[in-house]
Amino acid sequence: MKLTNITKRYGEVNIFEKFSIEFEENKVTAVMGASGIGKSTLVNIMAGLTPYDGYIESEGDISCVFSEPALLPNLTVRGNLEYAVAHRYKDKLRRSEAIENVLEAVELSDRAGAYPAELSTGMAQRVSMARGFLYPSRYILLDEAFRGLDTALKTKLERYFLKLLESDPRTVIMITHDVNEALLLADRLVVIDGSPAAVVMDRNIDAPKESRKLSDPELQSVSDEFITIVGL
Amino acid sequence: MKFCDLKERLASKVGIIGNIAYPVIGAGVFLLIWFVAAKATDMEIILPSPSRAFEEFFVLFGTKEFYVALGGTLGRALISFALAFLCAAILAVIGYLLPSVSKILAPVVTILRSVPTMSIILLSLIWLNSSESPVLITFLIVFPLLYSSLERSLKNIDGYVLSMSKVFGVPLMTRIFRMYIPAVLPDTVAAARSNISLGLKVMIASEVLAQTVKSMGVAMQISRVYLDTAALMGWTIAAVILSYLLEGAVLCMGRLIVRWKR
Repeated sequence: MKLTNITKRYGEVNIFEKFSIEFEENKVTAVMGASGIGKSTLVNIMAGLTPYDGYIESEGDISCVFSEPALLPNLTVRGNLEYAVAHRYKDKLRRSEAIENVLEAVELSDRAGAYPAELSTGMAQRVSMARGFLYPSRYILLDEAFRGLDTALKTKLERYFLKLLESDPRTVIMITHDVNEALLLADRLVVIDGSPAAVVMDRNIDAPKESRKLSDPELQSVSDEFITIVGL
Repeated sequence: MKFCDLKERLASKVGIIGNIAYPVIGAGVFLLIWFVAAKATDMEIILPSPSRAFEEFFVLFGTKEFYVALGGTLGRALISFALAFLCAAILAVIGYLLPSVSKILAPVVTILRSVPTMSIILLSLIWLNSSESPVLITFLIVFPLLYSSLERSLKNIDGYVLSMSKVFGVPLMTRIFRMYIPAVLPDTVAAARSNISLGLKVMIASEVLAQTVKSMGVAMQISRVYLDTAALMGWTIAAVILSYLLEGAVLCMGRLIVRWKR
């Protein structure tokens, strides 16, 4: 996915002015930056949720995992998944099989008939993650998908994310505030800053994701650079 | 059987008994106060006893006039309620899609909500005949309440769910039947439940003033003219039961449709 000369204004505030960035195929790119800098606006632009000036070159559909589970209260877990993908899986048997597989991957097969009100916060967010991967998209946007979860739930959800990604690779653009989350999950860390926003840091992280530890020298070096850039 | 299971079962049984017992106790207290007040006044023309009122109600129950009046009032109430509901639904949807329409409608709805009921009744009596004016009056009272409820429910739909539907390209018809309608249903059922009995009350009041033939309002007015307080009470009991049945019907419909937890 390639964004070229993206310009976006909210009234007098210039969020992006001829902003360009390219996201590498089947890689996870974490986009970080201070609050209000334009990270979520960037997601909304890529998802087609807000108008903008400029060009986006992409070859395929997009799915999204938001910071809130965004589940319909009137539909069961299975119903929610059906709702989002039924128009993309016309064959009922294939659809049902895909739903079973993705629910099994997030260990929620036994909760397929439950309504969102009967799920815990972590379970609901797992359904949302499963939906993102169930949809036959080429790109997945994670808009602070791990926000608001306690450490244990977050670690669990991150594990499910990596498991799903390993079995079904996609190009992931991940918006986050948590540098540790980015260090553990991303192949590349991009930091945007300023008004209009511009890329102020762009680093690849090569260590294999499944065995990463925050104490690894490579991650430490990226973390140090990030801290220096944002001035913590 | 474990002690905690027994405790849970007992609590559940107490809950079921409570659901039946409390309304019965409430109704019993009301009837007792009525009975004591009737005994204290000791004048049937002022306040007949509950037994006399119910006796009169059962007498009415056996007459053809009762069913004619009941049918007339019920028919008009349902017509005006259905019209109000239809207009409220259409305008709420248009207002949701076109915010400028919603802004234009806002002061109109506020005016309709704050105009005294009696002004609406008297004006409609000038404009329309005796069987049309109760329909308009009930419509004008119920419409703003239903419209506000529908408009609020549509505006309260979770923004994330809306964004998700758009990103995933969910077809419009799926969105309408799986997202929009279920999202507004719980509040709409609640609003319909309270407004249908309000509509019936307004309908009867306007029938009294409009002197609508074949109506409960006029039947009540005739009872008042002849100082037949027991018959007036009998008609009142019929109106209360009818209102209760209408609310119950809406509640049952709601329970059949809205099955999910919120």
